Amino acid sequence: MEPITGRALILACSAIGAGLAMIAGIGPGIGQGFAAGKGAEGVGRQPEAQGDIIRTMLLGAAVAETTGIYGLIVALILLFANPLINLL
Amino acid sequence: MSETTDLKINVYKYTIILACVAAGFLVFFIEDYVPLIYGLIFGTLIATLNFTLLANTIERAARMAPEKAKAYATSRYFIRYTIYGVVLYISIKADYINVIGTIIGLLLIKVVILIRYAFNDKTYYKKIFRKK
Amino acid sequence: MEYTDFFTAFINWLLSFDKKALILAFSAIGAGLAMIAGIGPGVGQGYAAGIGAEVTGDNPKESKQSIMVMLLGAGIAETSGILSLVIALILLFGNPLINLDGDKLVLAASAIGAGLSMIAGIGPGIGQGYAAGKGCEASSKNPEASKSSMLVMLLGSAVAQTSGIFSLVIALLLMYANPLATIEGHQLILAASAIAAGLAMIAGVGPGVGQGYAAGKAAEAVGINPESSRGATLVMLLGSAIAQTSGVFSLVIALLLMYANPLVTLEGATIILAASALGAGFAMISGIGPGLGQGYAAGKGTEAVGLRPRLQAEVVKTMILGQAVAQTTGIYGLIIALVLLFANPLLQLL
Repeated sequence: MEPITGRALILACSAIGAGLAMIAGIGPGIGQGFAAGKGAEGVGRQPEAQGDIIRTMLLGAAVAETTGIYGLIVALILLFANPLINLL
Repeated sequence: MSETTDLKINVYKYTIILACVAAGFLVFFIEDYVPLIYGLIFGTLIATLNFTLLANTIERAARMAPEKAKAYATSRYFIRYTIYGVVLYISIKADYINVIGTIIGLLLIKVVILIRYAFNDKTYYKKIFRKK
Repeated sequence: MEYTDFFTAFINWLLSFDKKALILAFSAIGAGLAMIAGIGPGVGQGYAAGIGAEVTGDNPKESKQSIMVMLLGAGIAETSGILSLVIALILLFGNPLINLDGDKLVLAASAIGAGLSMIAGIGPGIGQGYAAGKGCEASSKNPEASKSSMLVMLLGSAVAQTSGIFSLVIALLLMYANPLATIEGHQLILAASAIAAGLAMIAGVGPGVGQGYAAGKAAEAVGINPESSRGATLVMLLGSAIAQTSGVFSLVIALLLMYANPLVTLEGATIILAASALGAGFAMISGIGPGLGQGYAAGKGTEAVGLRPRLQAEVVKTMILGQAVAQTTGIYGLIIALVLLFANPLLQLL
């Protein structure tokens, strides 16, 4: 294997970091699923309120999405706009 | 008096039948079937033993207070787990037992449970998929 | 720059061991990782026993049926533990990798990949245990419907086993029919791919627990309202199928890494390619979240349909909508994994 330069090491670790950042996706997945379940339960109890229930559910899900998006942004920065190699 | 006696006997019966079917299949299609048969017998016996232990655990646990039942069931699970481990270890190390036979024997009882109790009610499934 | 060569030094140190020693050492780690799945059925069966104790205490006369249901459910819940045990013991005592042709680092890493993959067994263990407990409870509360609720519980539990089976397949492929060890290409990249394939399969925990939850809720729903069994079963199966998506994504990435590895033919720094493979594997772990959430939604949807079967259309619509939203973060993970594998931006930066 060719000797590793500092640049290569930084880029390699950026790849791993991008992957680890996506693990944040676990949270919104669980939370939005929970909201979906409660939404289904609510509609089951009061189908007339379906519009309101769905709206509330999606609103809450959108807020829950934020941390997942933070993770995605960090991953994308590490991959496409890597700030660390310029510091070298 | 055990609530699960009928269930146990039913499961044993079907397990033995399925094991014989599997054994017959192996004899016909595999060259060196003797180690596999040993493994199959070994695995089936141990699976049956563990099923019996599981039944006893559950019967006793049902009589306990809920928190105690949880701890009891979990601890007995690990005992049964260790038995599986020992069985598999012996099967791997012994030359005259093929470990795949043991694995088939161990998993056979799960298949029996599913076939006998989950997939045996034709009318149920017809009803479910009638309109789809 | 010598301070970055610690990694090269480490790899060279690993490679200085003879093939058998390296593989067996890594197999020991893999065996340990696989055994983590043993926790699942322990937790699940404990839960089931607790419920069983409760309902027997509440209603001792009807206990026979409910104990039967619990026994069958618990029997199914053990499966994941057994599968993990099989992989672990084979790695320790009947190691198939030492006899395979191929690069030793890749074979050793495959042992770790196999172990990582089996960790997913926690999911079905917990989920099926939950289903067993719920089935037992439903049986006790409504003994006439006991057979139907048990059937639904077992059906759902069988579905919940899927992630465990995917993981087992990947592990067995890595151990017995290793596709990576004989590919032309740098061993470090292939080794990282093997580990990444195992990492990706860990996402199976999500669908395992989620689908088990759905199975339990379906059993409960059928117990409360036996006429709804058709609707409840259909909604449970539909919701569980959606919950399996993350598991399927992970399986696809794992199979890509193993059989159609895009990184090994790229021109570029080896360590970046190897790290990209690992990054892709880590990114797929995000599949746990949607798997769990969508399974919970499936369970709640089944419960709602059980209570009021006429509302099936509305409930299913809401459930699917919510599940689709929940899938988004899983898709983000998949995108990052695919970018790292197929459109790697880091190589040009070098």
